[in-house]
Amino acid sequence: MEPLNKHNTTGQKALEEKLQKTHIEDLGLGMPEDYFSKSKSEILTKVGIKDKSRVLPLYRNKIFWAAAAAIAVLIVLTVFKTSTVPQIDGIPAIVSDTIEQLNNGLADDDYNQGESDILISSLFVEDAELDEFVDNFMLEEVLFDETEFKYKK
Amino acid sequence: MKSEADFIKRLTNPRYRDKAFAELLDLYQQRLYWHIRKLVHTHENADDVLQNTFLRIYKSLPNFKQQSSLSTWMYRIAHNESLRFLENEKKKQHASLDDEANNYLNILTEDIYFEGKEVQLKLQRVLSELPEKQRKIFQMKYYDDLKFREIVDILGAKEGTLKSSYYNTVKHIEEKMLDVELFTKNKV
Repeated sequence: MEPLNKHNTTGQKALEEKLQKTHIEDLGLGMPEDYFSKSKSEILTKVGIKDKSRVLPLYRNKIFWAAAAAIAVLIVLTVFKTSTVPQIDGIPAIVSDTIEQLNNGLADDDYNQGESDILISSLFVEDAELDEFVDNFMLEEVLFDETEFKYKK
Repeated sequence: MKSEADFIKRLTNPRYRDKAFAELLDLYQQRLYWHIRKLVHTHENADDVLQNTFLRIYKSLPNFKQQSSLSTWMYRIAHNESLRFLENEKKKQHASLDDEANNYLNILTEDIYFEGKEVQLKLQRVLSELPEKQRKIFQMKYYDDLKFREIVDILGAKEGTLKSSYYNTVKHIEEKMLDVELFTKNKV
């Protein structure tokens, strides 16, 4: 019998082929297709070892699901990255929403109220400020005119 | 290159045991299957016994004392599992050992995975006519490719007796199969 040597796969394979050939050809002993592979998996399962050589469907693999989720997130980010501000017909949604609200009259009161506040507040000027403005204006205008007048003379 | 001693260390070390056991299966699964198959005749029986054999091997590995080679030890377990299986079958069927021997061909040919034709049937018939021990010695040497020393360790007989039995059997089969090219062309 060959000594144990994992690397001696050629000898191992040759021996297995010889055994199979003689048993099938000489003795007529057949077996189901892919029997040894399936049997190995069953034995490993029975002794509680996970068969790493067995091909498992991808959908049973946790790593597969994690990778799929990561890819899905990447796709979502890639697609929406260029329009992080939501848009409707090329107009930022915040603008179009406001327009829509205005058109529907939903925000009329609020909008007009704000506009009125701005206009009214602009009308109120402190007296002191107004006096100062007028005084300065008058003085500058007068000084300028007099100077200009002298040159003309 | 890994020695058997190193391999056994890995098999008995919980850290490496699982991987080493998978390698052990790769190395011996087919050899043990064919050994078992000839003893229990049908594929279905051989499949059961093979699984039980490896379960027993896995459980017994921590107790393996290396008094024989790993290979011989495993063959002995496979052989004993096969005999245990046959014994249980006999009890179920209330049949004697002689009946079982007489039914050798019937059991074999009823197996859906028996693919033998005229030539194979003739050889099987010749084998079925042999005394059980003589048949086993022949099969282990001729088909399992075991050395006489290994057969001695598995069956527990004397080497001289085994050799004598084997060569007599070969001569007997050659005479019986004289007209069959297949047998005389390849072997002996």
